Amino acid sequence: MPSPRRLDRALQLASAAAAAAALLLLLGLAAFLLRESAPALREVGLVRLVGDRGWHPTRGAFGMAPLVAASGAVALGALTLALPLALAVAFVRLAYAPPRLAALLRALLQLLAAVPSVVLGFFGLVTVVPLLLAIEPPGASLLAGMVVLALMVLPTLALLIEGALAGLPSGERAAAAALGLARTTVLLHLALPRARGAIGAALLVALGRALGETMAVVLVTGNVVQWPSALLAPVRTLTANLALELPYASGLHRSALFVAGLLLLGATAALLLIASRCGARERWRGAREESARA
Amino acid sequence: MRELAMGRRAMERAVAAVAWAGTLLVVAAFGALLGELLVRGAGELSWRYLVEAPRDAGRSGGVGGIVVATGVLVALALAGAVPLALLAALFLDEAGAAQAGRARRRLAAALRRVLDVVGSVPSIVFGLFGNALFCRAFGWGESLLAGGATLACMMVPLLTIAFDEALQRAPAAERAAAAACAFSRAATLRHVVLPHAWPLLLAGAVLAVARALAETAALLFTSGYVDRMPTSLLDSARSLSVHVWDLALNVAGGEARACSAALLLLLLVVAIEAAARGALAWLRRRAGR
Amino acid sequence: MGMAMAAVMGARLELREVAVDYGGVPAVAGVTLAIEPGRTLALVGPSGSGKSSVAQCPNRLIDLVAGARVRGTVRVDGRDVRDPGVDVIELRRQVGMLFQRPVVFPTTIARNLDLPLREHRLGDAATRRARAEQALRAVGLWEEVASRLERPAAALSGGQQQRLCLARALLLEPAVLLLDEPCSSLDPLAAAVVEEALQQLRGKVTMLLVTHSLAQAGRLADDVALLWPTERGGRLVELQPAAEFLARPRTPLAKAFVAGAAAG
Repeated sequence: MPSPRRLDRALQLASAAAAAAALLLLLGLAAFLLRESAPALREVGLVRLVGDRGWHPTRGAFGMAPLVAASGAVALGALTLALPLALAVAFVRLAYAPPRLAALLRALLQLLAAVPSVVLGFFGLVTVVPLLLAIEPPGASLLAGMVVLALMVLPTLALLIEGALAGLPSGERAAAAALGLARTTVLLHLALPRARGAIGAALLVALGRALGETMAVVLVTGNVVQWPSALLAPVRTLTANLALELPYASGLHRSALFVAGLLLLGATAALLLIASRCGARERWRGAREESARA
Repeated sequence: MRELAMGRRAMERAVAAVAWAGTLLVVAAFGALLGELLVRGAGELSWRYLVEAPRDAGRSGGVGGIVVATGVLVALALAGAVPLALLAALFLDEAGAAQAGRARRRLAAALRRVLDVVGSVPSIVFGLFGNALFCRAFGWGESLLAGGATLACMMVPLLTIAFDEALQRAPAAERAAAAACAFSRAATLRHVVLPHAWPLLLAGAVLAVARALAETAALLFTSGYVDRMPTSLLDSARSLSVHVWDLALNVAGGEARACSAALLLLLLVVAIEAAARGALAWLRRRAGR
Repeated sequence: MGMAMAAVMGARLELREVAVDYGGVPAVAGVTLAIEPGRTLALVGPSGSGKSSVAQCPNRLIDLVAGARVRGTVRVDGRDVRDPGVDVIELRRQVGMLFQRPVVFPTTIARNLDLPLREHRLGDAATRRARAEQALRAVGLWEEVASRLERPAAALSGGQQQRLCLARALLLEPAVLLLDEPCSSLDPLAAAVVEEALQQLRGKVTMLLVTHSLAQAGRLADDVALLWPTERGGRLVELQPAAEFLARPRTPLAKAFVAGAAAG
């Protein structure tokens, strides 16, 4: 058995090495994406990657704008659907539901958060898409993607919003109770204004997750490369495009796909950093911790 | 005054009604999800389904080799990520101590931020990275090894963050007492920090398993689609999640079997999460006594 | 040999111009004092006078406090504790400590005592058990816990826990004991029992006792040092033999402090 000091030293070295490795992970991630996307950046160029008419990489058209627009539309739409629902669940849990039901709701949210995204996507494919098909073919569409993604970000968003709303200082809560204010009044007029920053940050991180999601989207959006023009028209997102084309892509095509990956990396990292700047200490991980605590 | 109170009460009721309606909608959607999978998928689930090899691109037969491949992928990911994450968390823990130098503290702050960023990187981007690094640069091809390594990279930030939080559970007073007893750092970790931290360490690792099981996009271009029973780590093999995706998107008439596979996946993930949460809650109650 | 450290008479503890600040906020301003081997010095003074900060210097536990900076020299047995060549683990073996609140490790009573011994490879299992018993007897705890050594230490009362901590510190045969208000979190009865245990140690180990109770200082200490808070941190205003200090304080501040303590 080594002496305690030798062990301490070894531990210190090993942990510093592990920390360096973890740091290198991000650098390596960015470096490899850059390296692989270099040919496309060099030979196609940013201008064409944005401005080419449409995405037909085998025919030399590398315009990613419709893909980016579709990604943005699906993600923003999902948040628009999810925010009111998340607020509703948070209100019910904080103010209206009896404790037992509130605990049950929480368990349900945790279950929902644990559902693999490919299962959510599949659920969307067999239920949401046929429903929309009945309204207007083909059913697999922008709206279907929004609904499925909303379902995906909802549980964590609800838990985060609840955490932000519950963060009312106990003194203020007592004062409100002493004034005989109704719970709804307290939530709407005291807690909600105070939680605006935190909710904003939660939305930003949720946006990052929605933008980066692949499986839940690719199964339900129809995957036609076009500008998102109607809710019931099919679209193809950046992520879906990667999932569909990378397995067979080569040369500049493959390289251009890595540019898309770089774009996704940059967008999610930027969203996360802005969110943490927003001053919300509780982030996605806060919610994860929160849900682990229950 | 009375009218005002009435108006307020009506408002109160309206807000409550809307909130309940929204909540019901969420519950209904979740019920539909579970119901759909149970009704359409439960019939196929049996021991034979678990062990039999898939036939006809998965339209019939079972998920034999796929279950094995999934297990191997998760095991590889854990084996790669847990030691690294644990050590990195120890680094953060040590750098958090006051006597650590300024450089160490800065490095720790940078690491925390980087972990947050890497933890939020979309899984498909990890798939691209894994494909470029492990499949191509390392020459492992699309294989269990490449898929496991990619999953491990994804798990490192999540695990490190979870482990870091777990280590912080050890009270500062006990750390000081250990120092006053002239404990080495290793002894302090073993006798003071670990007894407080291990339930959360374990929970963090188990939740990471659930995440790895659920992962699909990172495996699409790293472990491949082959649905045979793998015989080596360099074999291409598909996970259960990739199986669901393939049946749903690429196999005509695969929907029914996709239901079974999706249900199996969901049950596995939910069971693991529930077990981790339940065990943690039980330990808490026991500690609280 | 009735006690674990009977052979050791303690080491000389010397502080010279010791100043402490926390992130630039001063806590102690240049304290100089010495404790001869085997003697007990009580550090008294109003809160905010930096008593605890001083007490955390000799075993360098102050290193664990974020932003803490120490200047001046602290010598144990003639050796500067902040010398780069000093092994902190070895130093802390030599300089034991008791805190304001008892801090037992989250395990059994027996293991609380066994861990430090094992960590420092002090004997085989049987020897370690014998030494643990000796230490428990030295603090008057043996009769109370002999039948439940395998029970969680946290189940003991506050006074018992504090004596267990004292026993744990004694196991390593320290030459110096730092006592940071060791009775202030205990009820009077428990405090008296702990004080009795400390009384038994007088003369056998060098002790630095931080206390806000002049009466306790009078009972336990050979010398009393009074620290007083100033805007540049706590200062030493008077250092005298305990009886002298209590009977005939010299400086106005000490007079006021003794008078205040008598009145309160």
